[in-house]
Amino acid sequence: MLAKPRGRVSRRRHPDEMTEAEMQALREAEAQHYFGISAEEWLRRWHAGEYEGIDSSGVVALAILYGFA
Amino acid sequence: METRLQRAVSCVSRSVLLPSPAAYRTTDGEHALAFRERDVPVRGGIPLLLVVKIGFRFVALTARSWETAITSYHLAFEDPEEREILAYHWHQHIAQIPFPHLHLGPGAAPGRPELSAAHLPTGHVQLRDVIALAVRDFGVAPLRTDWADVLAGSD
Repeated sequence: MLAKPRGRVSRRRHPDEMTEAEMQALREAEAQHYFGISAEEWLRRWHAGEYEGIDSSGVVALAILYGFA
Repeated sequence: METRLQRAVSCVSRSVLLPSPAAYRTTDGEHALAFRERDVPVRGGIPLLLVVKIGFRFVALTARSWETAITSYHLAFEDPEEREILAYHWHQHIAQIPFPHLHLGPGAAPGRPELSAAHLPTGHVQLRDVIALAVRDFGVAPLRTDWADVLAGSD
């Protein structure tokens, strides 16, 4: 789970940023491509520590997209 | 940062790098820059797919101004079947591997199996270096005539 932002916050969406739906679709595509699982399942495994110490492109790509890397 | 990275991409692709949701709205936490698609094609002598995932955060300069700092990256080329050829990595989530490194993927068909898992050390690799590699060594056709100048001026 991403931490709630605590810094300078605006509610207005910038037109040149991904929407939440687009970001979730990208996470789904990466989770399916690299692991053959849903993004939700990937996130569960991440929090369960199943990817600890694993430096594969799938883990790195998704860790960046979730703000973990 | 985003503009300079996009200028580098524009040398080989019309796809747009976009920041993750809320990147423009909060200065806290880690953000990401990526294409909407997981990979984008680049045309040339060798069919290639470009994969870009860049993590960044805001660093306060003053109470009202910030700059962006790249904190991680996954910059890769894949073959048309989406098999990874090579991937430049730098990330923070594995304490034993804090250094920038290169992976050779199955699409590179390395003869020694340990090469696919090896973390071949590199310096910090910038997106422009990867775009230049595509044009120089993989035969990717640049989309703009001033690509060399653009890459020289981007990071």
